[in-house]
Amino acid sequence: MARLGMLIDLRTCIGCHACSVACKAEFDVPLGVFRDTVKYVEEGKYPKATRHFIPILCNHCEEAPCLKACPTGAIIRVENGEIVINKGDCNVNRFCMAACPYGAIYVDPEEHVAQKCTFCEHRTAQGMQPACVEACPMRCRIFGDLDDPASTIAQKVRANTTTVWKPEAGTKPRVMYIDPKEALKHLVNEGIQVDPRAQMAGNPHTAQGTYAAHPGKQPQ
Amino acid sequence: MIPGLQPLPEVPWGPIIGVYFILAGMAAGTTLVAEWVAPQDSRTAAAFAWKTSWVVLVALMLCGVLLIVDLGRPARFFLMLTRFSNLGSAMSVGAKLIALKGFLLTLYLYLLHRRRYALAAGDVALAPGVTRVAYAVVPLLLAVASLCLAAYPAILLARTWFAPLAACSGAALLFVTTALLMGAAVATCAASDEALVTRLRDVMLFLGAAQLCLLLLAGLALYGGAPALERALAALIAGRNAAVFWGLVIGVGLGLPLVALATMRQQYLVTMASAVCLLVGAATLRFLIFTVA
Repeated sequence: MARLGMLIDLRTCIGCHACSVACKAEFDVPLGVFRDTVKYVEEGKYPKATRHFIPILCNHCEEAPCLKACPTGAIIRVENGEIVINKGDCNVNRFCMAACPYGAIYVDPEEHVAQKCTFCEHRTAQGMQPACVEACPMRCRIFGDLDDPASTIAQKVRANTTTVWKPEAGTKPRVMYIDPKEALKHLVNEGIQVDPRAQMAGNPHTAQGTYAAHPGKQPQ
Repeated sequence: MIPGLQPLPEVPWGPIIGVYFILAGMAAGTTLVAEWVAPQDSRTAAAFAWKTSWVVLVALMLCGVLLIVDLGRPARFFLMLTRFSNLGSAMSVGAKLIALKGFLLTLYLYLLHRRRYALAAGDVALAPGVTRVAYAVVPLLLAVASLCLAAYPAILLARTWFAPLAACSGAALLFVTTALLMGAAVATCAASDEALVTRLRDVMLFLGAAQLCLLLLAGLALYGGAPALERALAALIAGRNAAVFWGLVIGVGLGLPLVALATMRQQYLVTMASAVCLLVGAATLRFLIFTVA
């Protein structure tokens, strides 16, 4: 059985949000919540300031905390390793959200059930690629069977040094990153950093989150 | 959490769950303390157990109501009771523990009801056989379920990313002592017998002192620990929660009642006021362990 995973090459991500938009369109994700988004993280200071783009989504962990947390058995791992939520069994207790160290699960404000990235299970079951992978103009996302040595993802994993987000959480994520600039370390440890591009007037969270990776650099 | 560092998404559980942890602890502690200090005299014991058990039942029912309100509809709560597919889930076990305690408590109230009638009719001795076993086993099982329920929030919260204090090595013990303190306070307010109040006064003194020592040890365990633990400790003792911690938990919740209980032992009103203070302090500490990050 395949062990599906994703490799994201941060060297080529341009933060265009094509993946986020494709995911929104694929699942009709409501406003204000995301299954897949891109975080912007700033590092250093002028004249050596850098901005990193880090796509984040459910990591479909080998040791998934959400899977162990769900009291109703609504979260399951399908045969190819993708972790999905059975909407009918979800009682919205939000323990999965509390257990996930990546903040990848949200409560759908319209359907009132927990939701998250499924690696587009409905597409991959038919041999198609996830919507975000197809939409990426830079081809920085590679999806496939990690156990198949001939697959593109397995070859690229072998050829590059890869890392995962929050390895210390011990969740063994199946979403891996090529991150030579170590941008992942700048994502805040607890929760997910706010996307500064989403800043809107009167939203204090986004204003704080912009500087989350560098608490000493609060706006004056 | 570092000031100015606001994670997304928001913490998924709100104050309703915090209040639920307090009520569940109070229910568990009251059962345990009522068993602990049960009077020798059959009539006094039955009356005391009857009164405290009703308080516990009301608290448990409120827990159920809070959970249903939080989940949105009753069916969602009952789903956790009827599903056995993931018994590794702390929440699944917790929901079943509440149901088990509710069942045992109802059974115990039925037994107490019969006992009170029997005592009123002058029938002091318990009938041998099943009756005697039931009167011995049901309270015992109830106490075991209560002990699990008292410590349960620590096990649940330790699996989350937003309550680092619950993952520290003394958390489960603190949840147990806070539950016992709340239980002792409730039992004191429910006790009408003078000897029982005196006994409960000693129990509160002991538990308060134990809580103080455990807090100190938990602080030592957090100090120099993982960054998230140190941040939580700083937030608790010197950050935005410091006033609540030092004022309500340490000052009003422990210092004041312990001094009062130790120095003004014979005054009934002082004992009652101290019980209320201990209740407030223990409840606040449970809430802080849940919220401080």
